[in-house]
Amino acid sequence: MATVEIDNLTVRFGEVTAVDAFTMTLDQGEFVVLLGPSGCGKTTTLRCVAGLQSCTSGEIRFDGTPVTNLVPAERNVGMVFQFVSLYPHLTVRQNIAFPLRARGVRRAEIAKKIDRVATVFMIGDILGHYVVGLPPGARQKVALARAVVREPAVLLLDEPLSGVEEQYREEMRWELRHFQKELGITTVYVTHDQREAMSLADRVVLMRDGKTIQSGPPAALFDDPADRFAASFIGSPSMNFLNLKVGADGLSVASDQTLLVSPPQQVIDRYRAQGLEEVILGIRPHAVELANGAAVDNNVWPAQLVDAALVGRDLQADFSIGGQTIKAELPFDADVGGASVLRLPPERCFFFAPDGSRLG
Amino acid sequence: MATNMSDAKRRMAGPELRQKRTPMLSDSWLCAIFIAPSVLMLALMVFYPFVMLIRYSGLTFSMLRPDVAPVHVGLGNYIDLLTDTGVWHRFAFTGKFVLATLSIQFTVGIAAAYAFQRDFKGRDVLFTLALMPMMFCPIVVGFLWQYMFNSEWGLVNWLVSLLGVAKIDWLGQSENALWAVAVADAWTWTPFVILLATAGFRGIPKDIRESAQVDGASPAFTFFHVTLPMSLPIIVIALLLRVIDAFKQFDLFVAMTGGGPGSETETAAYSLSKMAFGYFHTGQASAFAIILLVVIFGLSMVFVRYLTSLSNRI
Amino acid sequence: MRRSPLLVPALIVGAYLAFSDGPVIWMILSSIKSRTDLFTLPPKVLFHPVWTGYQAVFGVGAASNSVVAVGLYASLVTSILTSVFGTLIAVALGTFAGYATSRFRFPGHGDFMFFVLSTRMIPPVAVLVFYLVMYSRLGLVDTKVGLILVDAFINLGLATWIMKGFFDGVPSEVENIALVNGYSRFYAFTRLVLPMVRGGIAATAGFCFIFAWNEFSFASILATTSAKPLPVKISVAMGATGMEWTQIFAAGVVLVVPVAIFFYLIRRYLLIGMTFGVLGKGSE
Repeated sequence: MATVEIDNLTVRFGEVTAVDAFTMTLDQGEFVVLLGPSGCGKTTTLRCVAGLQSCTSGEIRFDGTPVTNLVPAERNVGMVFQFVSLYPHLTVRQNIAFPLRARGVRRAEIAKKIDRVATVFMIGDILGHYVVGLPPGARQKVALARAVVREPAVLLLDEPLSGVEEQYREEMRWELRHFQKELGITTVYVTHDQREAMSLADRVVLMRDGKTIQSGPPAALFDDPADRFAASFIGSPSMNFLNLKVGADGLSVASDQTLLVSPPQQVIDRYRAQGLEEVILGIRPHAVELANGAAVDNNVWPAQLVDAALVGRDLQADFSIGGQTIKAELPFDADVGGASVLRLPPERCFFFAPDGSRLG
Repeated sequence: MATNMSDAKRRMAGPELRQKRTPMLSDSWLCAIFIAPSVLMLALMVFYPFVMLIRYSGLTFSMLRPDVAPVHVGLGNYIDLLTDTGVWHRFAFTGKFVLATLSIQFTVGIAAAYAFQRDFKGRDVLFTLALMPMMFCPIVVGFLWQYMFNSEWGLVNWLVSLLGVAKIDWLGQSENALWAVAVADAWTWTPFVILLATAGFRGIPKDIRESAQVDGASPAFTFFHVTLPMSLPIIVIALLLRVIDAFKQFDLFVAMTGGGPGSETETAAYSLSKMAFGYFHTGQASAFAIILLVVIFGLSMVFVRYLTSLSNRI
Repeated sequence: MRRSPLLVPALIVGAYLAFSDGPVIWMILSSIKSRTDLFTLPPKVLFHPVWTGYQAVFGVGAASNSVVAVGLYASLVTSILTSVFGTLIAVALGTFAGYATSRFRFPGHGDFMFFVLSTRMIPPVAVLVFYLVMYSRLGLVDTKVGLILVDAFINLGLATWIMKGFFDGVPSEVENIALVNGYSRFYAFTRLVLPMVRGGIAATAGFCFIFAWNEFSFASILATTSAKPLPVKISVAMGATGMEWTQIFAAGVVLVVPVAIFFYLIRRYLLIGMTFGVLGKGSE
């Protein structure tokens, strides 16, 4: 278990920059998730930490010692790959023993360590099985056991659940987090699924085009996104965006300028300072309130119901406001009719400039 | 598959839709016609000769003397052969030869395949060059190595002398000759082993290789504990094919030793050929041929069984 | 990131290539050495080249009139003829049989495939015992026709198995489209399926040619005088007048050139061809 420092990591493939001056420090025992769409550089970064990918520039340190020039075998990392690659010709026990045998650990020692991880991961009963016939949950546990058996400095996981069926994922996610906490191992987890990231991470690092967009605890990304991309990527169902127009007397909905918005003062100051003519409003579906009967006012607008569906405990309703669509997540017994009135609480609205940067 | 279908449709765009009333060959007729020539050839070249060989093996006669009536001896030929220590000697020699050449082929072949498994600059060219020996006519190979193994002016003894060792009589003594021919055979067919082993090694998924790297395995450890075990099916196929071919080896002995000195380096096949086409003891040769066929077929059954189970699994 | 050293593989490759190609180079050099140069030690690398070997093989010049050399060129021609025609027959038969075994489950299907495969296992010497009898009765001994028959036979199994593999790779929907539209299966076979296995036919032809071209065992018994193919002719060179090494090696080089060309042309199918269609993908 170690602290991991990634210092200005840059990886270039010919003309393409996959990772651009990426910097991050992990404390011992921390669970960090690298999140982002495909091609954002998260897997490349992970592979650099593992030593499977060479970096164009930058340094990686474990507990302060640089490992950038070391081969994977010398770095003492544990890794679980996307398609959980267990050795098909070996039993579970032999799979787990492999990293230890590769380093010449003695037989008695190996047996002890295997028993220990088998207890932690509760796989004692399948130690003698060949890995071929095992269900996905068991395979993942074996892969994890193999990765941690020699107490690596850091545990790396590359979208380990992406090949797993939906119904197993949540349980496996929970188990994974449980094991990680129990073992206290520094972990870097890569995924494109933001729900996974939000539920697993101590800290989420959102990446795009090789750069870090935002880094912080899940709540921070949810409640205080750094830019429009972060706001749209996190949260399910995703954030609503409305196009607003800057007028002489304030902000209004671009397609129906009778509908007015009252933003906080600092937002007004910022868009005036930048001389913007357009602003984008963002609000999460569950923040949208139904206010039938209320008078039309700033942030309180008439809306036309377009569609509604019951999803789980909530009613997801799509409304049309001035031609633009807003999705609201309402209690299942909400009274939605053709014509409704919606309230967008100002304190729960986000404002963005057209280039995606956050205004407030 | 989509390409295949659109190709097919394109090709059919030509002629008009034919009326079904035009007489067409039914599938069964077509099938029969398609395999008839092959069946005929097989019957003529495999089945019929096999039956006749069995018939002849029960007789004593010589092709050269059609005037002399064949004598029925029942199983006499077989008994004579199976009780002849010379015959057993030949089979033993054949077995030793097979072991010798296989041991060279597989140690060298797998080592070379290990070296060729990764891509590197110029790999394709070097790999093709490594396959060269397979392309040569076995007779030519035999003469080449006879030339090189010659005790007076051969290249091998010259190289040996550079190491300070005395000249070795390669082809004049049966123990040495065994190895000389084995080297020539291995030289020709090691590329085959390399071809198959490399295919096996390169077929190992990238994720597994990387797993091994991360797990801390050195290249050697990975090779012996991951790459080789996972390539076992292919290597076994190579082994079986090579065993059968080594048993059948004939051309090299003709070119290199002529069975000599005396008859010490006669393999079973060579001995049979002398019996049939040297002395023309056709009846006895037929019995010997049957015995040899049985031995090789027995070995081959292992191969065929493994083959079919493999093709069912794939 | 430091890469693990390529030293060990490089050494192995170097050593192996020295072993496998050294003799090849030696043979090529020896094919143009004069008599004295051939037998001197230490072996000469620089010398005055002598072309009598090649002259003999191609039937030109005085060299081709020596006792041993007479017939070298004729043997070359025989080799070409018998290999080409033998290949044609084997490929044709193999393609038809391969298609039938791929598409139809006829009674005796398994047995048929077994017998086809068995041709690979047969030691030539064993069946030759009877072939000689058969050939002499049919008057085929020492004829080109007889050799063509043999060259076709030794490759029948290979051709059938390889082509079956390729046909297996063509989905039967292709013919079904045609059948449903009123075309005959034969039409579907020739116009639709065959063009799709062009690569397979080329590979099969290449391998059949190579094996027929280098064939020795059958020819050494069945065609020893007027219809000798080149491999047999070479073996006869160890005759009373002693070996004409230059000619043997020149012939060897000439023999390998077409094989090398074919090997290069069908290099994508090497795995399939050498394992009798067992390994390797048919569509790559």
